[in-house]
Amino acid sequence: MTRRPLLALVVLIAVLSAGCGVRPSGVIRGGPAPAAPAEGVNLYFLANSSLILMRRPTRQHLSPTQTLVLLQDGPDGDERAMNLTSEVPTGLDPITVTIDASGNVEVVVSADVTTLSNTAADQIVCTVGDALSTTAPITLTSKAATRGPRTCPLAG
Amino acid sequence: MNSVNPAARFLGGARSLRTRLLVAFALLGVSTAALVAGVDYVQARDIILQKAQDTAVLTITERIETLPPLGDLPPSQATLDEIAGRLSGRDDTAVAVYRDRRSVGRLDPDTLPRELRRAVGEGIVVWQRVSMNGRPVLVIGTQLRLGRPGRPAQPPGGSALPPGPATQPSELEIYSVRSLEPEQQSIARLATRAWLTGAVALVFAVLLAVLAGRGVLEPVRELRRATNRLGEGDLTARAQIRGTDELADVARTFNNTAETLERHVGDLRRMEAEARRFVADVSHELRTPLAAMTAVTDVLDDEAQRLPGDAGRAARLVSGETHKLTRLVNDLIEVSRFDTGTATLALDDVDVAEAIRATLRARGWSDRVRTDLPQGVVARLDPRRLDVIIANLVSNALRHGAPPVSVRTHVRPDRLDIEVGDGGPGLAPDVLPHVFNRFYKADTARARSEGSGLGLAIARENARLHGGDLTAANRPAGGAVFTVHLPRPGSEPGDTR
Repeated sequence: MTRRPLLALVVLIAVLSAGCGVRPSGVIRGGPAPAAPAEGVNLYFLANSSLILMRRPTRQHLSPTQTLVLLQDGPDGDERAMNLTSEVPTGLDPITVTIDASGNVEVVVSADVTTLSNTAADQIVCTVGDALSTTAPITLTSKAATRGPRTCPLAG
Repeated sequence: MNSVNPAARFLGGARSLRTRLLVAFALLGVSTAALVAGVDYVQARDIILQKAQDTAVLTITERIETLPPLGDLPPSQATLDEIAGRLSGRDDTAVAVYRDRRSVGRLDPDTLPRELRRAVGEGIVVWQRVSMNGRPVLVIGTQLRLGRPGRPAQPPGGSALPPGPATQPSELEIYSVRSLEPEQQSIARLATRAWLTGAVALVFAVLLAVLAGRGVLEPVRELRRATNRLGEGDLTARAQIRGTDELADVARTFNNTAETLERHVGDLRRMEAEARRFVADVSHELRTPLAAMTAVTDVLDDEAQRLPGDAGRAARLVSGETHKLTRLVNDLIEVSRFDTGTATLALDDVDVAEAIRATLRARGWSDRVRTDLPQGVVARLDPRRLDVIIANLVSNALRHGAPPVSVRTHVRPDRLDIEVGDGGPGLAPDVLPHVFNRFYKADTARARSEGSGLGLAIARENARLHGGDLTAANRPAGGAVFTVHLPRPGSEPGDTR
C-alpha cells in the first residue's frame, strides 16, 4: 500500500534533481550579425568561377574609375596564391563613370561590351556599385553597344 | 471507491491518527515548499542564464564592432588569427572561420553544433548552451559583416543615387565559446538553498503535526481511557471535557450516556434489591404461620388414618402441601441469604465419604444409590452445606433421572470432585444452559413437581460459597451427571479460603 506513494516520491525527487543545473538549449536566434569596420577598396574576383568579394588595402580613397583600373589589372601575387581569378579583360581604358540627374549610372569603356562574359560584367557592376556605395542598376556602354542596366548579384 | 483517491488511501492506510496527521502535514509542508522553492529556483536560474548569455552576446558583438578596420579579404591566416585573438577574452575563446580555413587555436569549429553553424548562415547572431566535455558552455556564432569603405565625394548630380546597405556579408564567421561554470555554481547554490528550504519546511511541518497531534490525540486518549473504564464496569467513569470543539462534544455526549447508564443501572439494582428483600421478608413472615400449620398437620396426620373417606384424603392433602410449602419457604430463605450475601461458611474437617453416607442414610436413600467413595478423604468444608448439595443433587437425580443413581468422589491434586449421575436419558441440549436457573422446569408438560424448583440453584450457590463450582453435563454413555468441584485448601498452602 505504501509502495506507490514511495515510487511517486522517488520520481518527484528524480525530476527535481534532473531539472537542476545548466541544461543544453536549442539554438537561440538574436539580432542581425554585427559588422566590423573596414577600409580599402572592394574588388570582385572569382574563386572557383564564382563571384567573391575581395578587399584590397589602399592608402587613399580611390575613385570608381581608379577602382576599375585595379579590377582590370587582375589579382596580384598574394591573391593569385589564394586561387583568385578574373575574367575582366585588359584594354578597357579609357574608362569613364557618369551619373545622370535621374540616378542612372553609366560605365563607358573602350572595349566592346558585348564581348564581355556575364561574369566579367558582374565583376564590373559589383565593383562600381561598391565604389559608389549604391545598389542602383548600372549600364555598361561602349561605342557600338550597351549592356544592362544590371545589378550586382551579391548585393545585400 | 478508494481507487479514486490514492492519497486518501495512503493516508487511510497509515496505522495511527498521529502517523496520518504527521504524514499529511509533512506532505503539505514539503509540497508547498517544493512548489515555492521550485518556481523560485527555476525563475532565478533562467534569469541568471539569460543575463549571462545576453552579456556574453553583447560583449562579443561590441568586440566585433570595435575591431580594427579589416584590410584584406579573403583574410590571410594572420588576419584570421588576429581577429580570433582580439575577440577572445579572459572567459571566452573565439575562432574565426573563413570558408575552409580557420584561425589557429584549441577550438575546432567542427566540434560546434551543426544546427548552430547552419543558423549562422542566416546572417544573424545565434547562441546555444551545450555540454562540452561534460561542462556547460555557451557557444555564440555570427557572421562578420563588413562596413563599406567610406563613400567617395559625390560626383555632380549624383545625389539621386540610391544608397547601398551600410554593411555587406563577408563569409567570415566568428564563434565564441564561453564557460558557464560560474553560472552553474551560482545555480547550484540556489538549488542548495531550495533543498534547505524544503528541509526546514519539513521540520516545521513535523513540529506542527506533533503539536496538532497532541491537541487532538490527548482528548481522544482521555476518551478512550474513560470508555475502557466504563467497559470494565465502572459506571462512574467520565471523560474530562476540554475546549469547545467536536472532540469536546463527543466527550460531553459520552458523559451524558454514561450518566444515563449509571442512573438506569442504579434503578435496576435498587429495584432488584427491593424485590429480593420483599421475597426474604415474605419468606420470613410465612415461617411463623407455617410452623403453626406444620404442628397442626402433624396432628392431622395422626388422625387421618381414622378419618373416613374424603375427610381423610383432604387431611392428607393439606398435610402434604403444607410440608411442600415449608420446604419452598426454607429454600427461598436460603436463596435470599445468598442474594444478600449474608450466607456464611462454618468450616470443619469433614470425612467426605462418611458425610455423604450420612446424608443418604438420613433420607433413606442408601439402598437406592450406588456409592464409590474412597475412604479417608478429609476436606475442610461446611458439613451442613455439603449435606444440602448432596441431598439436592441426589433428590434431583432420583426424581428426574432413572436408576441407577450413583455418587462417587474423585480426589484430584488441587480439588475434590463429587459426581452425582443417573442412568436416564440425560439433559436435552436446550435445557443444559438453564438447568441451574431458579424455578426452571425442564419438562413443561409436568406442571407440578416434587421439588421447590430451587434445589439445583441452591446447590450451585453452596458450591460457589466454598470457592468451587457445580457443573452439569451428559455422559457419553447416557445419563446426566452433575459434578461438584470443591477446592482443597490443604493441598494449596497459599489458598486460605
